[in-house]
Amino acid sequence: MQFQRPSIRRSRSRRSILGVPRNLTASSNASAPAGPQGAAPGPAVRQDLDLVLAHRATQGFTRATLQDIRSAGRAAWIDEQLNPQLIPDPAADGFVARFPSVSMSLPDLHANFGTSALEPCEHLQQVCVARSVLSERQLLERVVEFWHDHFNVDQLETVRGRLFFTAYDRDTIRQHALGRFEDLLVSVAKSPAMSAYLDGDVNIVGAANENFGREVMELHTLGVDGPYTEDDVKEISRCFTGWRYGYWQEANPGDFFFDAADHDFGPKTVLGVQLPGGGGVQDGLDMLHMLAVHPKTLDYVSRKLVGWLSGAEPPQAAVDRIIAVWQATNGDLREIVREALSDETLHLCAATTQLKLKRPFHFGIGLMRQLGAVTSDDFLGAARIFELVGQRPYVWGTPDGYPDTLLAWGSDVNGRWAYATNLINGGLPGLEIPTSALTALGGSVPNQFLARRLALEMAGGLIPEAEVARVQQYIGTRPFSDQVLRDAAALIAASPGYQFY
Amino acid sequence: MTRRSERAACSEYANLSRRGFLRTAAAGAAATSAMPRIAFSANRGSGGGTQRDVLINVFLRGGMDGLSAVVPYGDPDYASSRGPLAIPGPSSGNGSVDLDGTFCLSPSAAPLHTPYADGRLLVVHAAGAPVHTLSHFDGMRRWETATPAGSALPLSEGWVSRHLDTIQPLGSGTVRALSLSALLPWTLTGAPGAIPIAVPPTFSFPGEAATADDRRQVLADMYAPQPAPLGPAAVSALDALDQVGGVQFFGYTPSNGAAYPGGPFGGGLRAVATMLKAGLDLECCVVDIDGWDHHVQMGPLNGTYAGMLDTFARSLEAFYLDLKNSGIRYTLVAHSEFGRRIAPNLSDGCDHGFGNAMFLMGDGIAGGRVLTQWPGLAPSNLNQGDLDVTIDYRDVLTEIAERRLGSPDAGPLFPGHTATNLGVTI
Repeated sequence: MQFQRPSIRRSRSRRSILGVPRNLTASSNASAPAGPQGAAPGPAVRQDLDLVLAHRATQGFTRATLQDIRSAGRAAWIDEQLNPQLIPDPAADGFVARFPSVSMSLPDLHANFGTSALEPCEHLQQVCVARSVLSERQLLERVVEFWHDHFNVDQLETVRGRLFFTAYDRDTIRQHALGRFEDLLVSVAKSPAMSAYLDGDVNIVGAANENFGREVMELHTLGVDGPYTEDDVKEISRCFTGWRYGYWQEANPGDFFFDAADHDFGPKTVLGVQLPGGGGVQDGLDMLHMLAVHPKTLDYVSRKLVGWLSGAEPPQAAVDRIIAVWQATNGDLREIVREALSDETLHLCAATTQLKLKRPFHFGIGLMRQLGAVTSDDFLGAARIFELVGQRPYVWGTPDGYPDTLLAWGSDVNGRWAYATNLINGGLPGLEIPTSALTALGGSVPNQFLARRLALEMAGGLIPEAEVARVQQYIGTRPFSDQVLRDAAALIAASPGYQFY
Repeated sequence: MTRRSERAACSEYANLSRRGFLRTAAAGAAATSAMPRIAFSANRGSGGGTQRDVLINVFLRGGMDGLSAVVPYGDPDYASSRGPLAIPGPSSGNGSVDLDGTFCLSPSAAPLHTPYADGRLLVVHAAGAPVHTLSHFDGMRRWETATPAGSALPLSEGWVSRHLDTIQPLGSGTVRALSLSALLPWTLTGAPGAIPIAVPPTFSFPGEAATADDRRQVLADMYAPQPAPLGPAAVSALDALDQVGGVQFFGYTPSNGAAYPGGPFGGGLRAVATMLKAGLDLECCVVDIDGWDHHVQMGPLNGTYAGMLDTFARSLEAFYLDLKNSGIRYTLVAHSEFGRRIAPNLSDGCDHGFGNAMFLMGDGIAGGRVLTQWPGLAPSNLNQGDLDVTIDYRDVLTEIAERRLGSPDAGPLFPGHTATNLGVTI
C-alpha cells in the first residue's frame, strides 16, 4: 500500500510561470550573497515572517504551507494550528488507524504483544514519521517533538518500559503538549515509562535511587545550572520513594500508584523548603508544584522552547516575553507557544540569532514533504534509516534528549548528502520519489531556471543565491533529463543553505 | 520483592539495538554509491613509521564491571562482598587466567592474556574519574571533556580535541580523527579534522558514478566559504571519501591468524586496522562498545555480561594480533565512565559504582602486569559501597599523550589537574 502526500486543504495560490509568487521573488532577489556567515541569508529573507513560520512551526517546509500562512495571515494560521483537534487530518488519522497498537490500553498491548515485543515500538516510530510527513497538525507535531526531547525516554532502553512508551507518547506528551506545564510535568513523573527509564520503580525508603530526582531538576525544570545541591538531589529523591506503577501481574498494570510501604515518611528539606514527616504522596506532588512554578524553571524552559521554535540562543528580551505569558497564564503551553511564534518574538530573534541547523529528522522529513515521497512499507524503512544520520525517533539513550545544537550535528555532512541523494534516487528502503512528483516540482520551468525553482520549492528562498547559481551551473552543462532533475534536487538538498532554517 | 524480577537491565542489548540497525541500513544505503576517485598517499604503512601513535579509544559505555573482567580473587573480601556474583579464582578450573596471584582474567576475558603475555597489555585497576557521579551521561561527558573536579558545569570540548589543536597534523590535516558513530562523541567534539563515520566500509559518495566528480565539485564549491562547523566538516568529508573510500575493506585478511568477532565492535576494530594498514594518517579513532549497564542478571560467568566481555576481549586480541609486527604505532585505551558497586543488588546485577579497570594496549605500553594502588574491598575501604579510585584516569592519559601521542605538554589537555607519572608507557 502506498501513501501519497496528502493534498493540502487550502487552495494553493496560482503560481507564475516560474512557479514563483511575486512576493517570494522579491525576497529571493533581496537575499544577500554568502557573506562571512556563509549560509546566513540576508536580512530581507529573515524578516519574511511567513517564511520563518513555514520553516519553524512545521516538521518541514513546504510551499503549500507557506501559501497557507500567506493567505490566512500568521496569527490566524497559528491560532488554527494551536487548536489541532479542530483540524481535519484524514491522511494522518487514516495511517494511524491502521496501527491499532498506538491506541491500545497497556493491558491490551500486553495481551497482544507480550512484555518485550518490538512491534509496537516500531509501529510508533512509523506513526511518528507518518504524522510528521502527512499531518495537517504540523505545529502540534513540532511541539510534541520538543517535549519528547525535553522529557526524554529512550523507547528501547529497558525491556520493561517498551510498552509503556506507547502510552507515554499518547497519554502524557501528546495529551499535555499544549496544555499546562505543571500537568505535563506531573504526568511525566507519574508515567510508568519515565519510572522504568529513570529507576523510579526501585526508588524505595532506605535505598533512594537518585536517577529521577536528579533529572527532574537538572533537565525537566531548573536546568543544569539550577540552584540545587547534591543534598537537594538526595532529599527530593526521598520525596518520590514509593511512586510506582502496577506491574503486569498486578491490578491496573501501568497505572500510577503510591506504595506507602516503600515511602520514606521522614522529614525532608529540598531547596530550603522543609517538609514535615508524614507527607506521603503529597511530598512529591508538592515538589513538582514548587519546581513547576520556580522562576528558574520558567527561565530555563522558556529559553529552550523559544530556542526550539524561534531561533538558537534567543535574546533575553524574547525569553522575557515568554516568561511573562507563562506567569500570566499559569503555564498555559498553548499561549506560551503562541507567544514564541508571535511577530514580536520572531523579530527579536531574527535580529540577533543565527539560523538553526536542521536536525537530521527535520532534514529528512522536510525532503519527504517537499518532494512528495511515497512509501511502500508504511514508513518502516524511513524510520529505521534515520539511524544512519543519528536520529531515529525515540531512541536517544540519555535523559537529555536529542541535542538541538550546531555543535552536535554539524560534523557529519556526508550523512546528509547521502540521505538526500539516496532518497531522491530511490536508494532508501521503502521510499520513492516518483518522477511525476519531481516533474511537477521542477519540470515545468525552462531549464535555465530549474535550480531556482527547486530552491524555492524546497526552502522558499532561504538558500543563498550563489549556491543556487552553482547548482544551476551544474544543470547547464548537460542536456535535461529526469536524472539531471534528480541530481539538481539532491544538490539543492545537500547545499549549505538547505541545512539551515 | 517481585518487582525486582520485573526489572530488566537498564541498557541490555535488544534485538533492535541501534548498532544492529545501523549496519543493515548502511548496507542498503551503500547500494547506489559511487566509487571513490583516487587513492591516498600512504604515510603510515608497514615499516614507514611515524613519530607518534594513533590513539584507539574504546569507550565501554554504561558502566562496565571491571571487577568481573580483572577479578581481585586474592582480595580476602572479594568473594564475600560479591556474593553470588563472585568469580572463583584460577584454582577453580573455571578457565580464569591468573595474572599475578591477586588478580585473574575471568574466563570470558581470557583472550586478553595474549597481549598481556607479550607484555603489551596493561591493566590499571581501581582507576577512574575524580568525581563520584552516578549519572551515565554526566560521567561520560566529564570524563571525555576532562572537566575539572570542582566544575559545576561540564566542559564542551574533548580532551583529544585539545590535543589535536596543539600538535601538527600527521597528514594533510583534514581527516585526523574518526568516531565510528553517527555523532561525534564528546572526546572529539570541537576537534580539527574529526568526523563521525558510523560504518567505514560503507562510507562513500552517493549517487551515480558517472556524475560523481561533477557533483562533488559542486559541493566543494558551495561549502568552501562556509564557517565552522559545516565548512571544515565538508572538507573533511570530501577528503575522507577519497581516503576511507579508497580502502579495500571487503576481502581484507587480518594478519597473524587474527579472528575478529562479528558484530559492530569487532567489525569496528577490524575496520580501524584495515584503515591503518592502508596508510591513513589517522591520529585518533573512537570506537564504542555500549550496553554495559547490568543492573539485572548480569551473568558475569555465563550470562549477558560474559557474552559481551567475550566479544570485547576477542576483539582486542584480534586487533593486537592483526597489527603485531606491522610497524604501525598505536595505543589502545579502553575504559568505562565508572565501575559497578561491589555488592550485588537484589536482581543479580550490580548498580553504578566508582573505581574500575582501564585497559591499555600497544607496543609502547609497559604491560604484562596489573598496575594498581589497590584500596582493598574491606567495607571500611569502600567509597560509598564502591571500589575507590586510587588512580586518576587523567594521570594515565597525560602520560599516554606526552609519551605516545606526541603532545609536548599535556597539562592544558586536563585543566585543573597536576599529573603524576605512573610509568604506564615504556
